[in-house]
Parts: sequence; C-alpha cells; structure tokens
Amino acid sequence: MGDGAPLIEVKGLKVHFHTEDGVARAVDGVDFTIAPERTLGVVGESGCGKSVTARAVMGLIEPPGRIEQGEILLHLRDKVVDICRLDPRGREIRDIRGSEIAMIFQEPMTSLNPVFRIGDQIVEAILLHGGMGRSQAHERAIELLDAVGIPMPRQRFESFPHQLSGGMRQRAMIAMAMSCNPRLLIADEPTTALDVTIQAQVIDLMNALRRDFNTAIMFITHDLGVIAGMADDVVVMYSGKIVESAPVREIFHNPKHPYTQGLMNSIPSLAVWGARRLKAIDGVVPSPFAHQQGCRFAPRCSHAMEVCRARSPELLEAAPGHSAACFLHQAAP
Amino acid sequence: MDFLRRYRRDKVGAYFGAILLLLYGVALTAQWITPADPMAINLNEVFAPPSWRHWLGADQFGRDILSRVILATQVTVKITSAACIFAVLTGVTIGMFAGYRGGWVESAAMRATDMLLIFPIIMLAIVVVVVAGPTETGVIIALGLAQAPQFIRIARGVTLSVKEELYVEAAIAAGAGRAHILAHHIWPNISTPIIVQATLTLPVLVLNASALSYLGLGVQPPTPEWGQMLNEAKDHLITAPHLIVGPAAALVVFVLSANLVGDAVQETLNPKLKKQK
Repeated sequence: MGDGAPLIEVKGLKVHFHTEDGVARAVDGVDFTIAPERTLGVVGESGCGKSVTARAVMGLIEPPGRIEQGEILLHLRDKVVDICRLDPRGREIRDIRGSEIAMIFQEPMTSLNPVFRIGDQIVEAILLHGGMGRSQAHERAIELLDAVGIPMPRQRFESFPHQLSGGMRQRAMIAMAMSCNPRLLIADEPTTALDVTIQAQVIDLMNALRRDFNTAIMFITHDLGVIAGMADDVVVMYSGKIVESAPVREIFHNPKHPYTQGLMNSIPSLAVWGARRLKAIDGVVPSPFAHQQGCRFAPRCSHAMEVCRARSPELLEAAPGHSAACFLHQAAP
Repeated sequence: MDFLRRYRRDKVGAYFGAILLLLYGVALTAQWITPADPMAINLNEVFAPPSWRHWLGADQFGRDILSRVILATQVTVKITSAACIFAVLTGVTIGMFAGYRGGWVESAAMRATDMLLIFPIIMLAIVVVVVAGPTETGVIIALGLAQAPQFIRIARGVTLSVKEELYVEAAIAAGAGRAHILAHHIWPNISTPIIVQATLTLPVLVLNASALSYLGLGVQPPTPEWGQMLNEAKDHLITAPHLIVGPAAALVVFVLSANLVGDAVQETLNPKLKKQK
C-alpha cells in the first residue's frame, strides 16, 4: 500500500451522550487519519473524548451514546466501509473487530475473564475469526504468548489470569489482540495501570510487534513520555476536539497551541541546573454538558483574545504537516 | 473432583447425600426391585397388616404397599427432575437473554415474572394442571413454571453484573457475537448459583408434586404417588393406620435429604456463606 492510501480516516466525528441531565458532547467534531503501519498518539487529559473516539472506531458506542455526525472510513483490501453506518451488532462489524481492528484496554486486571485459562481465551479469539482448527489455534496461541515475551509459554498457557502479574496479563491481552494480525491496534491507555518499569517493557514490546506484524497503532494516553517513545504522529485533544496535530518531533519541539505548550510545561524536568517550578494549567476542563461559544480553551488560555471568545477556531495548517486550532496561528479574518 | 473432596467434609451432607443417591437408585431400578406387583389387586389381603409377605402391609385393594411406595419413588423422581430441568432451562434462557438484551424486552420479561410470583405456587400449579390436564406432562409444566421465576431472577441478576465487566467489552471488541458472549462469558458465572438454587428447589418440587396428587390433580390412579397414597390412606386412618406409614416416611426422608444436600451444596460452593454463621 502506497503512502497516499490511509488505513482509516475519521471525518467530522461527533459522539454525543443523551442523558437525563442533558446532552454531553463527548466528541465534537474530530478529524484524523492513520496511515498503514504508522503509530498515532492521542493525548489529552481525562474526559477529553480520547476513549470515546477509540470506541467509536470499534463501533462500540452504546446508548445513551450516539454518533451524531461524521464518517469513520476503514480502507479494507477491496473496499472502503464507513463504520458509523454499520449495525453495531451485525455480522460485518464483527468480522472487522478482532481481525482488522483489535483493541487492548487500560485495565489488564479485568479485561481477561477470570474463570478461563489465558491460553483458552487466546484460542477463542483465534477461533472467532475462523480459518483454523482447535489444535492449530492452540499452537498459534503458544507462538503468540512466546512472541509477546511471556516466558515458558507452554506452561503459561495453562495459567489463570489471577496467577499472572499485571504486566504479564497486559502481554496476554496484547497476544490476544494480535492473534488475527489486525491492521490497526487501538491501545486505550495500556500502560496506565502498570509500574513504570513494566510500562517501558510493554512499550518496547508494542514497538517490536508493530515492526513484526506491520500493524498501525492508535495509542491513547495522557502520558507524554509514553507518546514520545511510541508515536509517529500525535493529535492533542481537548474537550472533545482536536486542538493540534503534528509529527511527534514537532509537537515536542515546537508546540503551537497554548494547551499543548501548557502540557509540555507541566512535564517535570530532570535538569539539575535551571530546575524550575512545575507550571500547571490553571482552571479545569469544561463540562461536556456546557455549550460554550468560541474556543473551548479560551477561559484557561493566557493568550486568549477577543476573537477566541466569539468564534471557535478551525484546525488549520500552521506549518507543513502541522495543524493547530488556534487563532494565534491563523490570520484572523 | 475438588468439589467432592470439599463436599465430603460436611458429614451431614455426606450421609444424606448417600441416602438421596440410594433413593435415586431405587427410582431408577423400581421395575426390577419391587417385591410384588404394585398394581395386582388381591381381595383376600385387603388391609393386611405388615408381615413378612407384605413388609408395609397391603392397602384397601390388597396391593403391596412397599411395592407401591417404590414405584411412587420412580414417579416422583421422574416428575420432579423433569420439572427442575424445565424450570432451569426456561428460567436461565429467559433471564440471560432479558438481562443481556436490556431495554423493553427485559422490562416485559421481568414484569411477567413478577406476575407469576404473585400467585401462590400451588394456586399457579392448579391452574396449569386444569388447563394442561392432570397428566405427567401437565404436572411437570405446572411445577416447572411455578419455580421458573427464581431462576429467571438469578440468571438476570448475574447477567446484569457480568455484562458490564471489561472482559465482555474486550470480547465484543474481538468480534464476538451475542451467542458467544452468553455461552462463554455469562453462563460460567451463572452456573454455580443456578446449581445451588436447583438443589434447593428439588425438595420444594417433591412437596408440591405430592400436594398436587394429594388434591387429585397429579398423576392419576392406579399409578401410585405418595400424595395420592396419603389421600387414600387418610380415609382408612382409624381402621388401617399402617397405610399411611410407607408413603409418609418416604416423603419425609426424600424431602429431608434433598434439603440437607441442598444446604451442603450451597455451603460447599459458597464458602463465604459458611463463615457468616
């Protein structure tokens, strides 16, 4: 597949939750693309819509959530499907889940069923998409356990989830996700619940698997250090919108949006000389229920101008390959 | 096997479990172990008292009571087991589906279940028997239907809590369909409470089956059934009191053992419950 053809294109995605307290605009107009074999990092603080976006891509939005607008175009080998248009319980989306797009979750403690051996759970995942007999799937599961760096895979196949540590369980989850060679792996904060040393191992593992399996990864996290170690491209989300999108080096060396700059300033510095106080971003994330005019970050932004409170900035290119949704970088008309 | 080892620690449960197994053995082999023909009428031995020939005596038609009690064991075991299976199958299917599907399907199923629970069990069973007829099938449906709400509630409750587990969402994300999730992720969590409930329901079913046939709504004569034998015996309570001993003793022993076994199974499968005592 050439450079031009993306793997997945998300266009104008809006996911709203219709609750008794009103409409929560969890995702409010999000565009991004992921090219084959690239890693997209999605950063943002809690409640900014990262996980909802990921679930929308899997077709896992359940009532009261609803996809209000937009398209999620998945480029299959022979056609393009819009995931938003598929029946979320239908055959088509089930064939895509697991085999084209796989997902791993934040909590390795609860995303494995405690009553089954981990090997059997991987076998089930393989059998779901057919093409293999049970004994063949058994061998494949052991290969996968080996591939994700679980020692003595033949013995560990027989283990129950509670017998494994958090890191091992996350490895088992990754093995399960990789079982059908998905072309896109969505990782929803896979390292958040792990110790720092284990985090590093899991990240190394995912980087290695990406090369071996030629998988694209959508990596969701609020940990900028993890993003620096994994991603090719980064999108920064704030309150349901993408505020900045750029290659990873650009984001770290030349952040354009005041929010991204704020995030960078809130990374602790290890420098002995010139160590400074951490700068936190004042204020809190606006409630998703609030319907606010203008830029959503304006109330917390030290550069906010008149225009920011009146109109919402669009995500426009500020430098080649680098877009920001901020009037500071756009000639205000 | 671990279950058996732990179960055996409970002495009461073990002894009564053995008695219950013996009763089931009697039920399975009833045709071959009756000392006399349970249907054979012998007018020379009407109301014969217990003797070596008739251990429990003979009834108003001179039929051997022991043989009739043995055959009645088979009838009871057959009816109650079938009713229990019927209740579990309908209850678990409806409960799991309602709980997983949610929405109006769940509301409708649960309100219908509440309506079933409004009626006293015997009342409900009588209505069903009157509609379906006093045949074995009718009695099985009546008894099973009356117990199904318990299983619907348990199955739905567990389904509701399990379907929110992350591993269910992970399975959906791996492309699993509804049937796969119900069979592989929900059912294993339901099976234990269902087994406990089923063993606790068994004695209730035995009592209800006897009650129905005591009222003349169960299995029809000449097929023997404990309740119906008791009903016949009560008419001759003064002249031939020995008639009542056999069926009454059988009923007590069966219900008592089934109850104690149910408690023991519950304690074995739910060790937490034991500690609370």
